[in-house]
Amino acid sequence: MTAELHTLTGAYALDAVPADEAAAFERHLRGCPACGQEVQELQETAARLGRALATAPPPRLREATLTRVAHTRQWPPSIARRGGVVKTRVALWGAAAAAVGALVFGLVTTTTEPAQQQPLAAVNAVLTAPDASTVKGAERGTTTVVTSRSQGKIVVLAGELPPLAAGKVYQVWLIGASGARSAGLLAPDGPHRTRPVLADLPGGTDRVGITAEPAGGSPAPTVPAVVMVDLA
Amino acid sequence: MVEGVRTSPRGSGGTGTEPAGTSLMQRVAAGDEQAFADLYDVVAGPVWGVVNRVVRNGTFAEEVTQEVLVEVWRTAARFKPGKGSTLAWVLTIAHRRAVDRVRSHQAALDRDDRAGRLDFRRPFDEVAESTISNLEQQRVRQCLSALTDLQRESVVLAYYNGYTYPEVAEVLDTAPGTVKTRIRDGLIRLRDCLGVGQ
Repeated sequence: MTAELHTLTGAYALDAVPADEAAAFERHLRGCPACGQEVQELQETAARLGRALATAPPPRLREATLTRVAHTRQWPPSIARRGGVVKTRVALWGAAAAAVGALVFGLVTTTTEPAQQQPLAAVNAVLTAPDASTVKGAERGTTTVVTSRSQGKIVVLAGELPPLAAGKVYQVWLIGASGARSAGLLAPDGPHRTRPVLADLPGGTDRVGITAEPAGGSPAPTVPAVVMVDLA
Repeated sequence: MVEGVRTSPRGSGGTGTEPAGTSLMQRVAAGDEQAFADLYDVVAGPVWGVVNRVVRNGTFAEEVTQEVLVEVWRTAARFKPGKGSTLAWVLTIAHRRAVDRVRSHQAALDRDDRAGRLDFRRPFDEVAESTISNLEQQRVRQCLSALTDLQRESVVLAYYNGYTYPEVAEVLDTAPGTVKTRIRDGLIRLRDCLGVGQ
């Protein structure tokens, strides 16, 4: 193990490693069981610091949370991920340029058929627009939304979503005061990936939602969203 | 009994959620909403404490706390009992979410303002009236006071204030590499003092 990287175990356990460095450390963690063990023990230690702060939350939070849970689908057990130890670090704002670069790179390298060049070029134009604004959903397996007001476009890159039941498809909604407008369906692009959705950005859009709809999509959402990203 | 898990100073691992927590998590992972309600009663207090401390805004803290608990529900099947306690898993999610919220929403806040909020002693005084974790607080306070000043300040600023280690270094006017190693040394001493993983 690299001594320099290994000393990051403590800061990592406290979420105190800046995003770019955290990504390098996580790559290191995957091949270093000793580091993983230490991170886990130090996270356990950090939890003791946290438990000492325990106070009763506002009572209304209980019912609100239980209600939301009743409408939230659970994920299947992870296959590749080591739960709780190796975590996907959300790119923070300091790394915004790098993040957009990586997105563009990822998109370009998945393109093989000429037919897809056109929309991907349009997607890349939004991602690299000078006024591109990126919002990441709060959930793990984060959904990323990039908007460009100058281009009047929005790009939605879905994160990891629960597997769909047969005959269902994920549909993306742009939600504002006037209701939800479909931005299109999520097309699979490999086992755990979907293609980015590019749509016109209606004024007043303040949230992006993703729902599981019957094949072909619906004119309006028929079920609660599995992902909701606040653009505000 | 679930309620007792919160305070019971169980012997070994010390985090105390194992016997009830693990089987609870299995039921939660299987989609049992009643089990989740029980789990909520065990972990909501610590989650709220951590999130409220790091986020320092009641409205945001409620949002983040709810997001954390929904994430616990959603990803319950990915919890590995052999890899640590339920509460540590939940609080790791909680701290990460709280820190992400602070860093994204307060990125615009200038450093002077953040530095102005520093106070190493307040975390515990703020919850002095809480009755659920007095014993735990005393224990943690004792162990923290056994650290060197730089270890303690580095750990406290990183965990309770949500600072990155370079930010801690700036606040303490110390080299980042030094803060990085002090955080690790401090946590290792805390681990041993609190009897984690024994």
